[in-house]
Order: sequence, then C-alpha cells, then structure tokens
Amino acid sequence: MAEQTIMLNCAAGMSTSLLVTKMQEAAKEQGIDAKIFACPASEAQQHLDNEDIDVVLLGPQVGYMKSDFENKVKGAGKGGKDVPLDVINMQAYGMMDGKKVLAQAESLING
Amino acid sequence: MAEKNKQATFSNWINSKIMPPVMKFVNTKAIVALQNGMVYALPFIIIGSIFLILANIPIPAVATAITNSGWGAFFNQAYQTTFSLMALWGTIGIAYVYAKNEGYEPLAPGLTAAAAFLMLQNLSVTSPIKTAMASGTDAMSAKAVSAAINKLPQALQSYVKSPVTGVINMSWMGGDGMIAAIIVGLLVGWIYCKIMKAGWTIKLPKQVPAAVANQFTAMIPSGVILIGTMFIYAGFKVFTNSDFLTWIYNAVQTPLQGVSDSLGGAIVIGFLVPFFWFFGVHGGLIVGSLAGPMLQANTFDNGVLYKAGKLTIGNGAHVITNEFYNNFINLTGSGITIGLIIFTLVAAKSAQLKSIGKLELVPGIFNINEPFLFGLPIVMNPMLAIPFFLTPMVVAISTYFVIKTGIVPPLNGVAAPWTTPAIISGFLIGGWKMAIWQACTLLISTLIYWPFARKYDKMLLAQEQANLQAKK
Repeated sequence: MAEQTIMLNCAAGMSTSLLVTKMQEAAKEQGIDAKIFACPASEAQQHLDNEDIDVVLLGPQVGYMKSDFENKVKGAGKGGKDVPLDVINMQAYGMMDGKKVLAQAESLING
Repeated sequence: MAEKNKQATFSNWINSKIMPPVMKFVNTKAIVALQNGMVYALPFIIIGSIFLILANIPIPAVATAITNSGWGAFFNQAYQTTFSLMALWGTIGIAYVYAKNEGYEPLAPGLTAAAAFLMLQNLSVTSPIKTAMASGTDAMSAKAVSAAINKLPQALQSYVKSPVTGVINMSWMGGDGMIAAIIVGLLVGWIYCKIMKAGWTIKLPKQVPAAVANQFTAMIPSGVILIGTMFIYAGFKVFTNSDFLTWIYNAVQTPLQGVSDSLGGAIVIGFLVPFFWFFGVHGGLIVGSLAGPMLQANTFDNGVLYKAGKLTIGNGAHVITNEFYNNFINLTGSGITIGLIIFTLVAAKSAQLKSIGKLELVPGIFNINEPFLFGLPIVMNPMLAIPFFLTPMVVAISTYFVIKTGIVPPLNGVAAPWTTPAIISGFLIGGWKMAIWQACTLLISTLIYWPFARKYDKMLLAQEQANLQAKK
C-alpha cells in the first residue's frame, strides 16, 4: 500500500483524471509514494467511507461543493480526524500542473 | 492599471453578490439529489440506445434484414426494459441519493419511491382494439363498426370499451412520467428522512442482526409514505377519475417540455452554460441537471417516433433534446471551444496559448475543456467572454433552425455518451446529415473565436516579451 492517498474530485472525474496522470509523474520524480486517483464528486462519500484517504482536492469547477464536502470529510480520516480538504488552484488546474497541485496536496497533509 | 482595478471590482461584485445565492441554490438537497440520482438512469439510457440503433439501423436493407431475422424483436425487448423505464430508474435513484446524503440506509427509500410511483398511476392501458378502430386504418371499415358499437353483442361491446387491466402502462415509465418521477423521488426521500429523523422507527433489541433490524427500521417510514400515496391515488381517482401522473403530465410536464423545445429554450440553455462557467462554476452540470429531465423526455419521444419510422417535425418530433444539449451546445466542451484549439495550434504566437493548446487537443476531442477554461483562462476573462457566450448561442439558434426547417432531420432519440467525439456523435444521434451539420458548427466556432483569440494572443505575446526584457 502506498504511503499517502490523494483523492481528486470533479463533476465526472474526467478532467481531474488528466491531472492525476501529471501528478503521478511528479510524485515519481520526487520519490513520493502516493496513490492518486480521480472520481466524480458523487462517489466521493463511498471512497471516504471505505478507504484511508489523506487529502481531498476539489476541481475548481466544483469548488461550490466545498461546504458540502466539509461535512463529508469530518472525522473520515485516520483515527477519526478530519481529512484535509481544499479547492485546487485554478491556474494550476488549467495548466494541468501536476507538480504544483502535488505540492498543494503535500502541504495540506503535512500542515 | 485602471482597467485591472475595474476588473477586480467587477469580479468581487459577482463573487459577493451573484454567486452566493446561485451556490446556495445548486447546493440544496433537492438539486443535489436530482443531479446525482439521475446519474443512475444514465447507463440504462445509453445501453438502451444501443439496442434502439440495432433495431433501427439507418440503412433500409439492413433494417429489413434484422426485422425479418427476428432479432429486431429481441433488440426491442432490451430497449423497452432499459431506456423505456428511465422514469422508474430516475425516481429510485433520486430517493436513494437523497436518503444517502442524509446518512440513512438508502435502498429502502429508493424502493419505496418506486412503489409510490407505480401506485400513483392507473395500471391499465386503453384497449388496443378501440384505438385501432378509432383510427380506422384497416380494410374492414372499423370506423363504421366503431360508430355502431352499441349494435354489437353486449360482451364484445364491453370488451372493446374497457381498458386492458393488470398491466403497467409503459408510456409512464419512459419520458412521459419523467417529471412525476422526479417529484415522487424527491418527496419520498424528503419525507422518509423526516420520519427517520423524528425517530418513528421500530427499535429491536441489540441481539437482532443488523440486516434484520434494518428491514424493520424502514417499515414505519415506508408504511406511512405508501399509505399516504394510496390516499392521493384514491383522491385523484374519485374526484377527477384520472391519476396523479396524468395530472402532472398535463399541468407541469407538457408546458415545460414545450418551453424547453422552443427557440427561447435553446437560447436560454445556450446562454446559461457559459454564464455559469464564466464564474468558474460547472455550467454544464448545473444546467444539465435542471433542463436534463425535460430534454431527456424530449429525446425519449423522438426515440418512439424513430422506432415507428415516423420521425419528422410534422409528426411532433422535438427539435431540442438532450443530445441537442450534449452534442451541440457542449460540443468539444462548454463554450464549443474547438475554434480556440484550432487557433492555438495553427496561429498562436504566445508561449502560453501554444503550450495550452497542445494540452487541450486530446481532451477537447472528447468534449472536455477544463484546461482551456482554467488555463487560458476563459473563466473571468473579459478578453474571451464575447466568443465564449456567443458561440453556444449561435450554434443553438442555427441548429434549431436547420432541424426546424427540415434541412437536417430531427435527432433520433439515440443517446450517445457526452464524451463521444464530434461528427461520430452526430452520425449516431441523427445520421450523416447531422454529422455534416456538426462539422459546420465546428467551423462556426472557429470563425467566432478567431479574431478574439488573435487579439488575446497578441496581448499575451507583448506581456511575455516585456517580461523577457525585464529579465535581461
């Protein structure tokens, strides 16, 4: 099992899955052992229930769901902690900048 | 600098005044349940579409061969039990998601919604003999028989007059029952959760296995809902000699379908998608979940006409269906940004546009354009706002007219997944003429975006060069 699990959510999980590939490349380069995956926002709950997820990132286009997600991540992490959550930086998302988004994820995990 | 300040004030105003109410609305439990619940119907609609195509291949010789081989009937059976039941799938999905989001075991309310949906309709269809006779198309001058029906033997008379009972009326299961299915799904989900929250449940001792106890938990909320439903059915039957579904269909769905299938509807839909996206909110998702049920009902109606070989505007085919939305208004991504892709690949000079054009090419083919929306960016960018708003509206209006005037035949009711590339999707949803028209819309997009993209490119190039100078 990977050390870290990063979940990305957007409407259908399509455009975020593009970003996932870029983030995986970046993680490999930096020697970070992370499982990174994308799924539709509607399936997020299932993953939160069944897996140990270290950080949740939302695509900016579903950023309006953040308040909804705040309830979902409450106590869903390891040992009943809240899972860190944020909306992906718009520019980084658009440029599919895997490095930048990975850095955002890492700082959320470690912060 | 002043320009930039003005822009910032405007964006602040939008973010503080316009977005909060919009966000509040799209985050309501009902809209979320509607959005995510209908997703459960989608696989059945798309799988059913495949059978619809197989049973009605647009090449006459092949179609005849399939019908004669007997396979047509099998394909039809598969279509009838998937696509044609979309209202049923929808109502289950909506109640399911609603309860799930509230944190309750969701299958019981989902099934309760299905039961309530069925309970609210008359389980009968008009005698097919009566229908056939009234239309008077056969050789026996059935019209004459029908006019003199009271001269027939008593038994035969009542047989012809009375509806067929003990059947489910399939017309409510598909498009016609769509709005009622949504109402039932939402109400059942809402009431079920209210009752659970109030604690009206049967509580069993802790020794009882959870699976058994769960079944008892659902007993009271489902029971209350279904008893209430029965009274509604009874009320409609006694006072109007009709049923709830018929009433909703006439009072709500027909007008809504009419609005969605009008030039005004096309313009509003074409405008709202880029409007939401401009502020960084997924417009396709929001507009799709609101207009989707009506548009899907329109798709379904066209599918029925297509299956009967009567798909023309004169026979009542709709112009604006869900495919009009998915495969025209949102073609190559919201805002129909193919024109921008072409510009960035062919003519862009700035590094930013060039690099992002390469990034967007492949996703764009599959109708995904988030890299453009956030990377160019299009979101909150006044330089690209005009073509971004204009293109979907121009395409919506022109597509409306080419179908309405019969230049291109109506969309055939086949649902292609929204990620199907342009031209291929056009062929599936409307034949070769539709595919050609889709290619024309790509050209329209290019023409509209080109001058704006060029201006934006020049500005970026100047900025890039200025930055280089500064670094030196």
